[in-house]
Amino acid sequence: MSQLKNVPAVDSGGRQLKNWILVSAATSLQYSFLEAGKIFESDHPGTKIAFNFSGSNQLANQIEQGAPVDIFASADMSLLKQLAGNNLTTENSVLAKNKLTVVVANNAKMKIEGLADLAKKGVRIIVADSQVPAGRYARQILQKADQAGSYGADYSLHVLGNIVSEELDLRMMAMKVAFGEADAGIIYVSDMAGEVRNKVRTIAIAEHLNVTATYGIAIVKSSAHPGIAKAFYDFLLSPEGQQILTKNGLLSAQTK
Amino acid sequence: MNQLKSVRTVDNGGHQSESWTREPPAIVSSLFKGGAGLIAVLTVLFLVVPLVWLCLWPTADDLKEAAFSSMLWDAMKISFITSTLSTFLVICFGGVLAFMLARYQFRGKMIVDTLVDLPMVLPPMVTGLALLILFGRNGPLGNWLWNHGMALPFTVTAVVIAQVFVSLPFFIRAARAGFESVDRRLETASLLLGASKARTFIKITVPLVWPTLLAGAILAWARCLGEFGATIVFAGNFQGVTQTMPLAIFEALQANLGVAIALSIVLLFVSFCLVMLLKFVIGGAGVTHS
Repeated sequence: MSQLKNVPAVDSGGRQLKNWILVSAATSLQYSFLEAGKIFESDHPGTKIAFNFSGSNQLANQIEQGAPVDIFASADMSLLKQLAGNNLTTENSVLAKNKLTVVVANNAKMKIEGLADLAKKGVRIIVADSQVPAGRYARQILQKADQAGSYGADYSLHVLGNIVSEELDLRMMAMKVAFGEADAGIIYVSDMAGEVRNKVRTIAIAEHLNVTATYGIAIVKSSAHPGIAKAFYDFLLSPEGQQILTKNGLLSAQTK
Repeated sequence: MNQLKSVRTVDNGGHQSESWTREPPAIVSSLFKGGAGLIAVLTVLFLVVPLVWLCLWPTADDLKEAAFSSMLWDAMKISFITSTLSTFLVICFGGVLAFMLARYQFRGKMIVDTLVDLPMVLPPMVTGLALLILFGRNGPLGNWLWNHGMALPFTVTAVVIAQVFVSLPFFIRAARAGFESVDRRLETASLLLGASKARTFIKITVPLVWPTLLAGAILAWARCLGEFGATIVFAGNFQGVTQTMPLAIFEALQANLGVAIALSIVLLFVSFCLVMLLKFVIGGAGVTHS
């Protein structure tokens, strides 16, 4: 479900008007990018940054099908490599890192205190679908827990057995946990930056079990305003841009 | 444009009357026909070309991958079972309501009529959200269910509830029009001849409205097959449990556009057959439709 924020003015020929760029970004970047966009716009009067937030795969699909996008920010580096391989982007870089966290509703029906409780019988868990990066990372965490043996050898089997839905939109997933329809979910730490944090609490995943998601950013070759695109790209990678990202729950690009 | 010529005639009594001839000049007529024809062709192309292109787009490998994926068969099974069950429920409940709307006058009928149509204009996501907060574990109804050991969200029951909600108006509209079109004198005659009310309903009314009911049911079924927004919000997405065809397509879209399109083609084909069946049913009954 793609959300278009500040849809750019487009002339009758479908060309974007002067000084507009469209940034396609993974949903988990929404809070930080909206903030960065506002600051960039005030630093560069007359420019306008419009955003298209959705799942990274879907955004990559759109670019491959010729969507007039100027910048692509993905939750998955492999998608950037794919676009670069198809000669669709000019330059790309690591943008940020993200970790995952377990999220539990304040009014959860089951008592969940730690990761071990996810394996309890009858707990209703929702995770991201295995086709999207967050879903793959969640399953990697469960496998790591199995290998570490901290919660028993069949831990991941029990947790996977408790999954009631494989969600395709992480925001909707957080909402369903906040409503108490699911007892727990596994989402990005940065997804907790929004209003949802008032209704849920997080259970941190131990460092040795957690997975680091690496976000990448690229300038799309067909950009109508490569100058503005490059300026916003550089801004996000600058110390000021990185600070906006870390403020919104992400980790800087330099994080190991 | 078609021009109508006004002709004044004077009748024998000296009264003037005006009549309109229906014959425009030949050139204008053929231009008009040509223009209308062009618009008609463009409209058909507009509807058909994207779907034809959709069918041509995937590679043989995409089709093969889709055909051999467990996702396709699970989703087909779930879609078929849920949409059939939903349609059955829609016929039972919607049929009674449609009959009442067609035959009885009551206070607030206009309001009921409008409310019944509402799910057609409501974004399905809103429907899903409404169902979630009512039937969810923290909703008034869902909480009661939960205290009795049941939870609806993320279950196949939730899929059916969402489908029934969105497809009811399609059946009710058709069935109501059907019940209204029945010549009441036939029913009266049957009653006068001594048949019971129930017998009259089954032997006279139902056979007369049967094609319209069937057409409404097929429309409702097709709507159930295509249902996405309410399902993903209320019932979630889990292969083999709540993942219907549209959800499987959306999931495939996250990974492989070709496979997603191959799955779409299957759904398109099933829907096409359903709509064809609908035309056949309506045509066969000699009922005209607008």
